[in-house]
Amino acid sequence: MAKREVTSEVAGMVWEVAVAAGQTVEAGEALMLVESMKMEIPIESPVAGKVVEIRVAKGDVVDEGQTVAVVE
Amino acid sequence: MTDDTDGWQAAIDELRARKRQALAQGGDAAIERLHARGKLSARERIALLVDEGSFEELGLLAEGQIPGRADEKGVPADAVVTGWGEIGGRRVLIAADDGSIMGGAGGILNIEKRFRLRRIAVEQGYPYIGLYEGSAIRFQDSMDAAIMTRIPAFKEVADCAGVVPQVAAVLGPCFGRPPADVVFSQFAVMAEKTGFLGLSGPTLVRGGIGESVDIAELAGPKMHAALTGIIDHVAATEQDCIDAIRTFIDFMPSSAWERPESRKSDDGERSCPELLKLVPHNVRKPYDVRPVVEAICDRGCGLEFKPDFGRSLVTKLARLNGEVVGIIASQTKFRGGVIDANAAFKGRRFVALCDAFNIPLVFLQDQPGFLPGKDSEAANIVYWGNTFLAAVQRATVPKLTVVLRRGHGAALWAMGFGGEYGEGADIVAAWPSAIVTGTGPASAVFTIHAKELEAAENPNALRGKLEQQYNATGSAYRGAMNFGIQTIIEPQDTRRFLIRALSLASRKLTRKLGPKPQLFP
Repeated sequence: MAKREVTSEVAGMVWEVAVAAGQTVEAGEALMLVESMKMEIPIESPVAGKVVEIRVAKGDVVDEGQTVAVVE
Repeated sequence: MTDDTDGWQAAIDELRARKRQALAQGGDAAIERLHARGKLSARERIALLVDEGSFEELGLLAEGQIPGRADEKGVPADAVVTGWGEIGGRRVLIAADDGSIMGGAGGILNIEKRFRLRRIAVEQGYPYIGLYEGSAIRFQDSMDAAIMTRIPAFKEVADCAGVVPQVAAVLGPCFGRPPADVVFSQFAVMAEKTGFLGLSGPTLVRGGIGESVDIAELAGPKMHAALTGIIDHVAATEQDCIDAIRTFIDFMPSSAWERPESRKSDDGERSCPELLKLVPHNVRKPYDVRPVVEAICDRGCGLEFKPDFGRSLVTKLARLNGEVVGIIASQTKFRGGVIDANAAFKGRRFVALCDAFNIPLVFLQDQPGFLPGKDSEAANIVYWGNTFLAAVQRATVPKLTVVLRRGHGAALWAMGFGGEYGEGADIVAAWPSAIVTGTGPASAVFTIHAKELEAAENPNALRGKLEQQYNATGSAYRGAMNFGIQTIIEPQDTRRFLIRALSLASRKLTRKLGPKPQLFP
């Protein structure tokens, strides 16, 4: 199974991390919420599979395009 | 009376033979090569595009002369098939590049055939559909100054814009002249794997500036559907392209002098309770506005423009109680719905389309304003934001605005506000919890009250109190109290309200038909 990097579509602050490494997720399931423009924007898993790695923590500032998680 | 019919029969037989020869185009082998690459020939495309048997060709027997090869047989139809046909019973004009001959390029006659068709389009009021494949101008002709200096400019392409609907389908490598046709068209569709568009192809780019780039990266959907936004719709196959064109034409009138046809298919009184689930009451939660638009509009018909570009707006042709409308809806799922330069450009192009062709505009607002910051300034948000705003304010078609949850900043006027001065929407409505302010309450608090928050014992409590204050002063009810918002509606009544308001505001359309001041390109 191929590893996929999941990137943030927005610059903002990690508001809440919803999953942990090892957890099974569905396609489209929110891995975390990034606060941007005063909204909680979900970062969704592009595939159904397993979370390999979460690279950020609540309160971290992220850039647009930054890899925030890896799924497979 | 002499019996001379033998003479006539011979003449008719000769005409048929000449036509058969011209209809063979570049030959069976060349057409097979197109098929092998997932493409259709010009006449196969036309046959799928028009109602069966409705195509009448002009210029079949034109023959292009290649400079320096006067002793050779002329190029059949000078590599472009031109004529008229019907889509859904309505006449359209069509020019289809013939990719089976010299890559679809022709000479002066090729251009003159298109020119004449465009003149007919503008004088008579028929949509013009270009199926492009190739550079339009044959290389040999372009290298002969005698021809190059006499090629007409693009004015006839521009003259059609906003007068009759123009469609451009990019169905092959289209470098050189076709981009002009695309830019002035109202609906540009690209075949995903075989369509390419740009100034110059990879070979010329390498020779001219020394850059190595593959054709898909330079000129394919990634460039034009996502980065430049010049292409409105990417289709997986040529059949899908053709279906999209037929759908677009169905939404359009034949010219700026007419309104689109009405096609009633859904209950105009239908309530939409699903909106209460689709749109979170909590303003911090984003949502996908596409199902919202589908719930509000007549079910089962719509055509979205530029879905992968300027994604904080959804621009879509749809119907309300059978009448064509242009929906411009905030997509909070993308960056909270903030309007960046790309979204503003997309919005402005869509407004120009609707204003030109007598299509009312419906704004569904839920946006935090234009995007600030260095990157946005460098992308010229000042220019693109204000040209979008100006286009909306100048549009003469009926305009309706509904603020679903938020409307902030100058983007308010780009999304239909305009006050009593007759510029903005005919009617401004809002959902009950909507907030309309210069800056979002949360942003206002940290901008204006930074010092107080720093000095406060309990900054979070103070922040909460101040936000609540601004939510109250910014409430849609205060807007309604001062008649800046003309009505507040329950969300589930949105469809019913829009249909009645549209009916009220559409009567002026009959007095505003005809080409408007140019908003193109």
